[in-house]
Amino acid sequence: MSHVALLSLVFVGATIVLALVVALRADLTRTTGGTILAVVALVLLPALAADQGFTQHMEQAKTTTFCLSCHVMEPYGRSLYIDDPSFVPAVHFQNHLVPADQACFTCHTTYTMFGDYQAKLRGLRHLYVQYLGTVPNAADVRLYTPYNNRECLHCHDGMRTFEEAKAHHRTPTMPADIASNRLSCTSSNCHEFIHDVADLGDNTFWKPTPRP
Amino acid sequence: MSLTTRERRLRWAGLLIAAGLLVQLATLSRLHPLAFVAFIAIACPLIGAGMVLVLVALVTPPGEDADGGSEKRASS
Repeated sequence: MSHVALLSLVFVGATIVLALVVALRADLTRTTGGTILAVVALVLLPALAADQGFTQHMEQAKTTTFCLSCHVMEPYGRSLYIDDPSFVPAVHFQNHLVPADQACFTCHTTYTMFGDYQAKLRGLRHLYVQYLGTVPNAADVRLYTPYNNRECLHCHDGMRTFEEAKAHHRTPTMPADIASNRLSCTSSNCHEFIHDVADLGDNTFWKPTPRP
Repeated sequence: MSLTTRERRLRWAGLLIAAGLLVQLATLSRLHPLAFVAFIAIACPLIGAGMVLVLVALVTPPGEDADGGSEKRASS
């Protein structure tokens, strides 16, 4: 357990104890000091604790382990280990071009002001389908909207290897078309190999060296 | 010692908040989508309800007893 997690655990524990003290000794609040204690113990500290809990949950919800905890997502997790550099997610994951522990979220969030929250709302819909709906086959899972170049350009925009790649200058308007999402990175026969879970069995897989 | 309405509300508020924070602790110990949902659907409403109850209690006159009368009248 990290120091931050331990500290937050202690903080939430102390807040619980204080809330219980006020609950069990409510007569303490008859004095001004007691009222201040009640406000601190039952409003300020719980608000901070809940905010901290929400932040921690949001961070946990960004992890690869979290995303792959649903059975239907397992093939997508396996596709990250395809031993073929033409597979975009695999090459990003294996070379740590995205944080390996947040691989799914890094590419599948929406890089807008409330994108993280929109991603989590979509996640709630996934939960509904997982537990109350009909779970589709992994190969039938589709994005709600076509993949937006904005998500790629969040990292690649301004990157030297991206800017100087001849493939990105085949026509004079190509850079502008990519930037404006008129020319899709993933569905213009350029980077078309994404997860490809339907044909997963035909691939060889990278086995990372066990870390000491 | 009998409690006034305000104190009763504060007691309930404390219990709701403690329960909500306990649920929060429990959900943080598991890395699973359902833990996230439990936090949003159980812990947050409990804590929120407790905090609202505190604010309601704070605007309740301190001397009002559970029957709505003043503390002085109740004790006489």
